[in-house]
Amino acid sequence: MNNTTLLYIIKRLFLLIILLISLSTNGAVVGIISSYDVKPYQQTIDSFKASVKQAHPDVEFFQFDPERNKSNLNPTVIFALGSKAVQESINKLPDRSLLATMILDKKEVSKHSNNTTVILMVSQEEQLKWHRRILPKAKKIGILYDPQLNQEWVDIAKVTAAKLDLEIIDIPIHSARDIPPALKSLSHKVDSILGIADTTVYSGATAKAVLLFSFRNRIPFVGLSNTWVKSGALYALDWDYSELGKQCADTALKILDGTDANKIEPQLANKTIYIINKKTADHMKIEIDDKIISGASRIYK
Amino acid sequence: MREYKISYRVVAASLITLFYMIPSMAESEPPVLDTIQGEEAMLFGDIPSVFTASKYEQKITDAPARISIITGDEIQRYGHRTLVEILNTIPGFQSTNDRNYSLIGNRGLNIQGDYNARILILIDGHRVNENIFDSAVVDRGMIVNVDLIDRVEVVRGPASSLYGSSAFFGVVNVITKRGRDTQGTEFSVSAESHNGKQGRLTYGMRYDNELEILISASGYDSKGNDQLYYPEFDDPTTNNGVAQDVDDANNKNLFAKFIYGNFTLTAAYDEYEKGVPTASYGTIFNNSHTRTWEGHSYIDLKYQTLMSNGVDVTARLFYDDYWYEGNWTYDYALPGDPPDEVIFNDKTNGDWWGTEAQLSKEISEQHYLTMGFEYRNSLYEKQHQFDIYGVYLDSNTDNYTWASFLQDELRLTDELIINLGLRYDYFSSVNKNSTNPRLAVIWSPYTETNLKLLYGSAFRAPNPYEVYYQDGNTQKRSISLEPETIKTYELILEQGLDNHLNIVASLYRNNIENMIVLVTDPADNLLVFVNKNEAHVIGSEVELHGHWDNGWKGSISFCNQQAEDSVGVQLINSPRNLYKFNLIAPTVDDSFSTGIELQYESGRKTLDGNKTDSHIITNLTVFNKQWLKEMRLSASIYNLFDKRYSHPGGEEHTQDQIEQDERSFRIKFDYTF
Repeated sequence: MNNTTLLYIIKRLFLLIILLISLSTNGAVVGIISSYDVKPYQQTIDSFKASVKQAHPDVEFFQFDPERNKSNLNPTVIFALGSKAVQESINKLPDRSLLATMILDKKEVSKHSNNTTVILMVSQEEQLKWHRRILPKAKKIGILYDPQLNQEWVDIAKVTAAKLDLEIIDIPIHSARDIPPALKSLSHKVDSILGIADTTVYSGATAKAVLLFSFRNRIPFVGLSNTWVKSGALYALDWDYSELGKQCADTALKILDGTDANKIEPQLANKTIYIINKKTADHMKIEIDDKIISGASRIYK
Repeated sequence: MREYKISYRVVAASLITLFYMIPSMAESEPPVLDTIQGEEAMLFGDIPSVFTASKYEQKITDAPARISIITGDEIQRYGHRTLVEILNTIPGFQSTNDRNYSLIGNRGLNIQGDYNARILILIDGHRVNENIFDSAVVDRGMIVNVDLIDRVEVVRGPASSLYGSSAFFGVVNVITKRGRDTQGTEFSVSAESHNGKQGRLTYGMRYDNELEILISASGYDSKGNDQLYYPEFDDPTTNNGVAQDVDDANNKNLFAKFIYGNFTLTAAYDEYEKGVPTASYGTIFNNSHTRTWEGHSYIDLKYQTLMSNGVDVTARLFYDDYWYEGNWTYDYALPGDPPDEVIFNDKTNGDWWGTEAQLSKEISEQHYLTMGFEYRNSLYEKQHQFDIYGVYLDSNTDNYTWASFLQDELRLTDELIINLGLRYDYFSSVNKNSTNPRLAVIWSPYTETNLKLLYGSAFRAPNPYEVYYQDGNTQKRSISLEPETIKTYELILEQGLDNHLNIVASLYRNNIENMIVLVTDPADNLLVFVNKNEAHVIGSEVELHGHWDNGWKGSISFCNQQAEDSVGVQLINSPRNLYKFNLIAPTVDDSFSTGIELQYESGRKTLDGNKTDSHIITNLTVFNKQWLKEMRLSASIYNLFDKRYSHPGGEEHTQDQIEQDERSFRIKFDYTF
């Protein structure tokens, strides 16, 4: 017996076990796979469970761990949070309906046959409108991006910016080593730098260079999330993870009610909040309107 | 002479203990989410905080040299008044003050009479060592007010392969603030001991149309120490050794910086006047007519751009003017005759212009190439000495120098970088050229570990003052001076200990040949510049540096340096040991901070073969920035424990040792509106 045959038998046995388990349960089952056990993920899961339970009290949940095959339940829908969890779902449960969130790109689920997504992404228009509200004097916005990943996003941003009387100064980045000269070239050209979801440009390894440049040159950096603001970005749009859980629950309920996941359009997480770093604003001598400050979900001082 | 053999060890041990206790006092948050990978790491991964990071860490670790950076914030919180006070906090740096000028020494070499000719001082990359003495004023007469400094970058060791002449012992690049750093009008006044007062008015703004301006004017005036006692002059005919009201100083600065697009235009003007209380060069003691004036102004246009093909271009065009005047009062009367008080006038004036261009490009992922060209033309170098009896020197020379350089950073592997540099300089003044290489191997076997092996050389051509000066009275013209050279070998270990602490250890050897020094010729008792024999310095430096989340930061360093001549005799004015401790301790909300500095140095050998006392100087500054909005208030005590200490006198002094300032105070008030 070769390895391929053995693997085939194991997979079939695995599905058989799941089928047997599903027959032993009465209500719908939602399997939850989370990439990480950290606060935003946990908040989303808690809110998701509460919202689904409110509509369908008989729904059962189980934290699915494909690595350990701990579960005895057969899920109707898999709720996957984060890229790692999505990949696990695609690999181990390709024939289940998949609801994916905490991902930045719907391409992540393209290999799954029956899925829908709630993506952590802010549209160009919403991002730029917030920029104009928080930094009304900043008209020239620098964007560093990898053309292979984000050319389309930047093109749309440029058109949107023009409509809002803003200007995008875009610098293509092909590797992390391009970042220091690119930042240097922006130092006298832009009023702010907008961080976008681009793995070539923004990572734990490059964050320091970007934030230090922003800090030293007093050019505000618009971060990608709460952690960026805590570390020195002026502000960031983030998501209300309890609301995200509710949004995902609404989608999951549609699937549980029989809607084909594929027929549910991918959505953007719809409840954005913002976080402000007042210490950064003070350092950069930026005055932020009191109303905006009071509306922030979190303020770092 | 007393040594602090026991006490400094006790102090050092206490300070290190204190340093390691700081983390427990700091409210640091442990990193979270550091295991998150992939795209989500952008949103939820651990991001290093800009508030706790060493702001220029990357610059320091990647550089093929031992670098220290002091930020404007640190300058403010330590209460530094001059560049020399800033440099005194750095491992291996020392200074000498002869109550006329401050001289910077580095790694055991602090040569009197060189007026900082062997350290290249740059303001935003513009060379301010002038064209006659190669000097740069680093105390009250510095061309830029200390309040305008954004940061000071200090490169130790010879850097002629990139910077050319004067980069002999090191390079000090003063980076000034920009309009955006003020964003309004700033008003500053300070009052200090000896009836000293300083005022500054600065306007800075970054406009929406890309124009950014910074304009600043400042003035300083001090009566100085009105009662300086010099035992060498303790005689009823010389006021019993008391120099009274002759230590005054004043200066005026103007500084402007305009940035538009890729262009930066800088203009600076400075003038400085200082009374000379030491009766140097055999002048009449306690005479207020003996004093020096000098001024320096420049205009500098810089262009910098990143071209679409990835070439980083920097070009510069500049014009400088420098002038100096010294009034030296002598009594020409023969013994027994009535006094014949005559002012000997010493004037110099130099103008020069120059241009520089530098291109950098990443040729491939392994290659980062920098090449450049520099041309400097001294239009005139006037030296004029006269008194009522005649003219003793009337010299006007001119010369030019040009240079080209190439530097290649080769990244052989992720862990190994080789940095090769070569520079060729030609000097028309002595019709000589010099080629200076630099080699650096940087090995980073672990994320927090850098090991650097460095070799470099530098040279300094004799300047017009050393070549042509003679006054017919105290100093004669030198004959056939040769350029001096230095070669350095250095091994540096930079090791991060945790998120807050890092340690830098360095071992080095400097070999100097043909050093140009001012000596007294025993044949005629006149001063003269000569090339002396070889000297060498073997030294080691260890520095522990820390910064914590709550804003506490500081460093402790230990330096041992053995500077000897060719026969193993310790050099003049060179302390064997320098130990330093700096700490900034802010309150939780950072509204208030305390900055404390301790600087220990062992005794320095004097010209008469004596040794100055070893000593610890303590400076303390308290700083408040939130008492009123946009107002900063600081109060400093310098030499807190009123330690009496001296620096060796030079060949031009009667004093073997010159006593330094006792305890002094300053209160400073800054307001932005």
